[in-house]
Amino acid sequence: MNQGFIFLLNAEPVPRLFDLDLQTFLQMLPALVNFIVLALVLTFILYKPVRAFLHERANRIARELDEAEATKQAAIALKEQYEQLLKGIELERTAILDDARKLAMERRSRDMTETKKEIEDLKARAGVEIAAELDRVKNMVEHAIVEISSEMAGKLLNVTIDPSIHNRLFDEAMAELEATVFK
Amino acid sequence: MFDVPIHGVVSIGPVDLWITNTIVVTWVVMAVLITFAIIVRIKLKKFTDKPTGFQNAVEMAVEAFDGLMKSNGHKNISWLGGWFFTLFTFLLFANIIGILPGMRPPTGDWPLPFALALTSFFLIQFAGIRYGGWKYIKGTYMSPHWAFFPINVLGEFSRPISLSFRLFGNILGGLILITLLYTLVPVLLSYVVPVALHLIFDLAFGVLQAFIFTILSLTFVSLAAAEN
Repeated sequence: MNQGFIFLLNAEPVPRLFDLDLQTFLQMLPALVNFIVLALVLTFILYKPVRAFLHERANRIARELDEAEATKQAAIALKEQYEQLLKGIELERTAILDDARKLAMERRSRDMTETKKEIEDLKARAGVEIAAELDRVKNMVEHAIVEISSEMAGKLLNVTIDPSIHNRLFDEAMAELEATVFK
Repeated sequence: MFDVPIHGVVSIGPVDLWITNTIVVTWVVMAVLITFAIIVRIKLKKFTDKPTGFQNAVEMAVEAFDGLMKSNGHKNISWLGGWFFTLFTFLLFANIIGILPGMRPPTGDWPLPFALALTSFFLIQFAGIRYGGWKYIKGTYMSPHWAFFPINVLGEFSRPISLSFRLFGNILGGLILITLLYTLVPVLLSYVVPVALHLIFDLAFGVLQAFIFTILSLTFVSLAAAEN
């Protein structure tokens, strides 16, 4: 009976393909041990760490996608809010413009009326002033004519007038009259 | 020609345990997978939100398996994801390692598929009893009547046996066909013709059998966990 391990330099084939003997079942023991060791090593060194890495990354990406979705929804809500606000502003602007236009039209119409009235007043006042001025001028002319006539009469009474003097006096009177009238 | 070579013998008391080629290749597969896992663990700190190259491949593998667990596995057994992930990756590498010269797929030797199927069997019973309790035992072993107990026990035990033989048969069958072909075709053609068969029997069947073994185990455990 051998004790320990014997290493064969040249592998010796055993004339067996399939036997159900003790050696076959003994061969299962190292196979079982080998596989259990391999399963432990691969599970804890390879499979679980890589799987944990993949899950962590998947969770992180899912979380980031959720955050992006939430941000997108918030942005959409904000956009809608702004659009509503802009719509309100537009309506308000239109209303303000309408009011301003209406007010301007009213003011213009009122100003036109007032201006027309002022013009009418001015015209009326000017007419009165013109009439008064005409009266005053007429009075002045009348006074001047009277004065000239008086002077002419005085001269006529004191001096025998020859035709040349008469003509000169007449011209002078006329000149004075004209000067009085067109002053 | 198809025998499993022995690289050493370990004597434990009165029994001799052969260190077969199956065990050695299993260690090779384990070494590859553990090295890969360590590289991933080191690089995991540098993983970014925009995966490229190596990170993409790792993420794709884990995510694909995670999706498989979610679509086929009951939520009660989500904690067994690592176990089934290991089962699939190990079987995948063990089945397709025959592509490499001098490597014999360890799943072409029955003890390994049967050991893996036994772990599935114990997981099925564990999940059933944990989540279903007495109801599971009664529904599984004493249905429709307690007199059917022996038949039901046979039915339950046939699961790991059928699982292991399906895998073992497919891989060994492919191995035998390819080995025969290598001996039959002329030397020059032996570099060309078996390539297509390697693609079919090692790669395509290897991936398919790894998937079938894993998905069946997952389904059986899920059904047991959802029994109540």
